[in-house]
Amino acid sequence: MTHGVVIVGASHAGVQVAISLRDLGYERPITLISGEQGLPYQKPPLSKGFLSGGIDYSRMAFRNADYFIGKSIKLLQNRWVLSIDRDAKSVVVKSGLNGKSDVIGYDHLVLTTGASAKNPTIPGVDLPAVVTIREVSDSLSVKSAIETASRIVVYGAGFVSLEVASTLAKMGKNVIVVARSGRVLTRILPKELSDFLVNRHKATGTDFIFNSTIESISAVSGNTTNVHLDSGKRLTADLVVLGIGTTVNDQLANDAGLQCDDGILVDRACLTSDPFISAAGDCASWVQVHDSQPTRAECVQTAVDQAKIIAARLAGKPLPEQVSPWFWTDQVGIKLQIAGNTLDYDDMVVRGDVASDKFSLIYYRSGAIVRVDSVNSPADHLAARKLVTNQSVVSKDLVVDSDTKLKTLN
Amino acid sequence: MSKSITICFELSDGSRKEVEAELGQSVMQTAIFNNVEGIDAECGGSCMCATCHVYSNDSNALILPEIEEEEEEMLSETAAERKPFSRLSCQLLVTEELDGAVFQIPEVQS
Repeated sequence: MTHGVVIVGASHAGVQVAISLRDLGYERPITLISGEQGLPYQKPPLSKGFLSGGIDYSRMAFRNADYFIGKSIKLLQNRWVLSIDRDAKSVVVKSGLNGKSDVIGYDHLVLTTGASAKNPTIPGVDLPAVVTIREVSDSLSVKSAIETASRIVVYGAGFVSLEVASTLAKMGKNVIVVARSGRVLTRILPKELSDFLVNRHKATGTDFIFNSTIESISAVSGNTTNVHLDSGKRLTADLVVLGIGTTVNDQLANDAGLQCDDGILVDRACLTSDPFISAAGDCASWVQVHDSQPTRAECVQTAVDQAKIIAARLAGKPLPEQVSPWFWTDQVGIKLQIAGNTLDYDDMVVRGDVASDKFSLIYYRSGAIVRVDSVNSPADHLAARKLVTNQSVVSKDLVVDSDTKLKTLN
Repeated sequence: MSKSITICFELSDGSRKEVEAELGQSVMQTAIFNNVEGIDAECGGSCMCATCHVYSNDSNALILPEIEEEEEEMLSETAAERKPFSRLSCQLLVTEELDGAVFQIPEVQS
């Protein structure tokens, strides 16, 4: 009997593996195991459009129920994989509904278990007015809390935190961002862009407290809490949103003896140390193009690219080429699109007009373009992806000339 | 069940697929949900990737919303040739007026 492919986690990567397998003509069974109830959905709107009410839940689903049925993709909802038996090639799956466990066999296993929001180990983290945002249920909690909450403390200065701050400030809330670092998006953006974003946030009324740690949160009354900082300062909040990063969900892989190091280690073909197990998305650590060390990219595009690589391999098709990671954020009226994630550069030039919030920063290393950040300049970004993947050598005079389309320089 | 209308996608091989489109969804999502091949929509409808390119026609053009600056800029970077009635389908919401509308899908998206 053929078991086909079993996919653990209905994340961006997990769903894409299933879709691409069918697109490529894979005919054996596909089982997609989801820890949540309901159709698999896209997470980027959880901190943006879904939170503000602009995007309805029904518009976040990857596909509708008819799709999964029509394509013979068996979607198991509210199930948790407890363990992998690599010798028997099977997984133990527990149902969240009745608590029963089943054993499901696989020919090939794909781990797309993602990452969880990191919870700081501080007193008060379990209070009802303290939340993280990772799943739709989290975002729904925030939506319900902000019906009455007006003072919001956001802890952390990564993409999700800043998007939440932007969304809530726009809804008229008083937002204070507390960051352990000295600026926002330290590991992701150069200082110039961090400062640019912070200024835009401040213009919407959001305050920032940098170089600070929350030591504890205490209940005052109702949902009102006091947030105690290491400086001794105390903030009063009706809602505290924690966004201090993620913890990779690699326990299952680790327990099964797969090689892990802050993520499940995979090769360029997204294969783990077991030839019958692949991994993709936020849980997978791989060596990006032009990189030497494995990292977790934690972006939608890498999740999708890795999923397509796995599907191609399992369907016996040529593997798509690796491209440089690209990602985006939408906050305080700024659409920031990033091609290439290195901060190792020796020169940078500005294309466009910073004063009018429409420009791209183009970064060079040894004369080659290694990264491009585009602010409200989507055409630049689309062209930049190729320039960065190819590490193109293009003269600075040419890239700063707004009359020359970047596309023509590829 | 939300109200729906019928729209038609003409694939790059010339074949046509008529599908039910729910009001309020985007034309991109309608295509994806109905298994219409040739729309990638890599970014999920955030107007970030230009991989949901479609060709509208002159009669649709009157009922579709005007192209905003952002979409205009993305359309200059589509993989397939930009034509007079090129649109990004994630930016087009299904309205009753679109009943019977036809959208052509280009050969490539990326």
